[in-house]
Amino acid sequence: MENLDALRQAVAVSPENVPLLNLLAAACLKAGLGEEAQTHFARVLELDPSQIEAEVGTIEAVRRQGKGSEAVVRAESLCERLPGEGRGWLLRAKLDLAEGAAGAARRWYSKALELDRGLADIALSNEIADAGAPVSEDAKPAPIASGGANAFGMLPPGESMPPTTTSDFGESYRENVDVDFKDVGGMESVKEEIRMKILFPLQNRELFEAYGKKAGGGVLLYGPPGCGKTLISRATAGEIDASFFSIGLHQVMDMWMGQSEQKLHEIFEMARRQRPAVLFFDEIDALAADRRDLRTSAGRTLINQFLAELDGDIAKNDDVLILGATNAPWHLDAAFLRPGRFDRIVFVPPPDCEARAAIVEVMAREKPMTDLDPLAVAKKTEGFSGADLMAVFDQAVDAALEQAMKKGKIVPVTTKDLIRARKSVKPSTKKWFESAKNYALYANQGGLYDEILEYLDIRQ
Amino acid sequence: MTRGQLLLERRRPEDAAAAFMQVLAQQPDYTEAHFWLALALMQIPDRMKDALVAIEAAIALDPEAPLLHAYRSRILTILRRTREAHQAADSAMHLDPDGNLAYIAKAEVCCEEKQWAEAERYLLIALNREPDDELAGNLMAHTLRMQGKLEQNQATIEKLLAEDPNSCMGHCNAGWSCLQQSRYEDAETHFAEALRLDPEFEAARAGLLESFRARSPIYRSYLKYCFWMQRFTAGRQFIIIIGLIIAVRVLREVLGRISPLAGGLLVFAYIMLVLWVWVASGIGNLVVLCDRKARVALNSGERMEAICVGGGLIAGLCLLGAGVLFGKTPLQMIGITMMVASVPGALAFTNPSPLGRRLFTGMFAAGWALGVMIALSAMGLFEAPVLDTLLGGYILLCVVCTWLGNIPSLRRAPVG
Repeated sequence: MENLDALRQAVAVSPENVPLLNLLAAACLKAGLGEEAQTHFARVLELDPSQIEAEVGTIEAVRRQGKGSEAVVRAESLCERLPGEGRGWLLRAKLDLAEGAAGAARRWYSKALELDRGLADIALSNEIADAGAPVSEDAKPAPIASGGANAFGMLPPGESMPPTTTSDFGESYRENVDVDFKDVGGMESVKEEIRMKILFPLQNRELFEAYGKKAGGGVLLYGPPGCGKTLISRATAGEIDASFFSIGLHQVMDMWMGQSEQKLHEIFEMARRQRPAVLFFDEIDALAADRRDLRTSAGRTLINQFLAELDGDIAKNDDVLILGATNAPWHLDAAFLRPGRFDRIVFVPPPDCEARAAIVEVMAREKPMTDLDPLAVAKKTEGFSGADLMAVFDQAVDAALEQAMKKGKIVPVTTKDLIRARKSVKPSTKKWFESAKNYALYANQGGLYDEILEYLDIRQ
Repeated sequence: MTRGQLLLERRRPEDAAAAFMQVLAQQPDYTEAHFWLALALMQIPDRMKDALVAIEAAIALDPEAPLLHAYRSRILTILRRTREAHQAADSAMHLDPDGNLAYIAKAEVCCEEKQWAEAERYLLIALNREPDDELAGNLMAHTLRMQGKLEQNQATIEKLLAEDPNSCMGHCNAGWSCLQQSRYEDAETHFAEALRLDPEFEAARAGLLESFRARSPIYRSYLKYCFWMQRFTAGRQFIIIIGLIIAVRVLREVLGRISPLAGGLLVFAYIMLVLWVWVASGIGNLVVLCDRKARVALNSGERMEAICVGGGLIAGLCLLGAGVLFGKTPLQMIGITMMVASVPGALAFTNPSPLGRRLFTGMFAAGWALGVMIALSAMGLFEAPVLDTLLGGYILLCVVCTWLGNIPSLRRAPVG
């Protein structure tokens, strides 16, 4: 309330300060003062009619005052005027849900997420599902592998799925996996390692259990950026015919106390409901950061939550494979590397010659090429990541385009052009290996980074 | 704001900066957001000038905040704008005479200017106020060592490590202290521990390399010379060098009257000393390169230096010896060329200044090209009547090189 008074005083001094008015209105809304909030939002719109925040805020303020119908009309009007504004649709979803129209709410919520994935609202999504909104076809669990049981040896998923399986929250992270190892060129050693460390245990569960080992769990992929960690993760999911959920830092991190932990829990719950599932955490070093680096206790709570989820303290992670990818494994809290967590570690090096040739072939598709020799390009691009190869292509294509514009006809890109363009692109993996070498040399407790030393051909 | 702060502590300064900029887009007059943006930008390579802009924007909104002035001073110190950094630190001290960060900032500027006694004075004030301040403690240990106050330095480090045995800065300081006290094995242990705690800590890696180089007795004498010289400010070091040149000239005149040989030997010893000072690092790296375990600590530039400077000097010396022994003038000429080329070579491969690197690499390559020309000429494959004149010119160029090597912009990494 003190804050509110301070804001009111500030607005009295500066009555035309739009950000300040917005702040005051939002604070009123938070304090349950719908009418006052509406007045301030109205003033904002008088001063600057382009303020979407104020429009959305006004509708929310109207709704809080119990004027549901007016709010619906205003929301419909907003969506008509600004169909590309996700917040309008989100508001409509909330209003329709309040009116008991779960189906419509679900539709508007999906529309809002289509426009802006950042609008994902776990609570709303669950409320819609609980209200019995119909299940869409594409939201159904992943297909079952041949023979009635999937690679995890699980019961058909439909039999044990709770209705919340199809929540939109999950849909915003879920990716359709249409790749497997056949689609990943080269990287044979990495694939073999994944087969031995991940796939074989999952496909031979009994054998492993006979030795007291558990299948599933966590696997950490690390290596230089742009070298296919995400692709190989997707392909792993494709190999075991599981749902694939890709989670980035921004989807978990929330500024409100406790919200990040809640989101993380929801993500794990979602994967558990849709098992067999692969939960892929990109840039995991930020989510599982070393607690010594964190000044705030809030950050540490998130890490404790993550550890508890991994351990299966909250709910069992059977048939949920957790993959983490990072460029900086050394920034991970050591607790994450203990047995039962990310205890299997796979080094994903820059693509080898064969992989580079395959990448070149893929990149050359749908471009005017002539005399393409992928192997010749691959041989000249030692140490290049997939992203670096993309830069080579961009350079070569730009040069060809310039020529084409001068000549007024299509000038195809040649192998020579690519090799020439390669000279202006520096392999980005070099810098990574400079750092990685230091960690492998000086902080290689337990031989964690032996593969880096092996790759760099360093013998200590 | 909170999101930016969370990202910053998770080593995502770029993302954090974007989050703070987003806040500023909504609230351009939010002082705290400008301050945090500056902190994020400070952690991004080549964004120090932008950090300065951000902190100055924060100061414009709240000119009475001592913390902002202290950080401005720290940024200016990193940008090597020491005069302004002093002013900013003074403002911070004036606004908050009882705080300690302003005094640490002031000490940092003094350290940048090698004003060790002044830095010590300000750090004493800071540590009196906040005895457990790790940054002040480590800076104090550094300034004491630089002044040769090794006993006090040792006591400070012991206190630091007792408080936090996992302080990589503390172990690094301890390593340098041991190195200065000629306790090379202890130095190696401390540097290895500092690197275990933070493998990207460059000062610790450089220290470890020095302790490896110090395995060679001849290199140890060079290290002692460096530790002795580092006590002085850049100006005093320059005066010492000029004084040495004048002393050698006077002595040569005096000795030359008594015995021309003694005068010649003095000049030869002086040239060898100068050459040694320039090429010691290359020789040290060669020593490390020959050690199977230690060589992994060398980076690519240091390896090149070991081969081209250390190896080149030794090969040159051998060729010169062989030329004298067998009376072969071309061998002597190639040997001399390779030896003198090691001076620009020592400034080429590990030089953080791009301009300096290009200049000295060019000079080094010119020397080796001259060596090849002499060899081809001796084999009758190449006609070059002015080779001895070229060699004379090249030696002169290498002498100039020793002067150019003292220009800071040709030796230091650019900042910004």
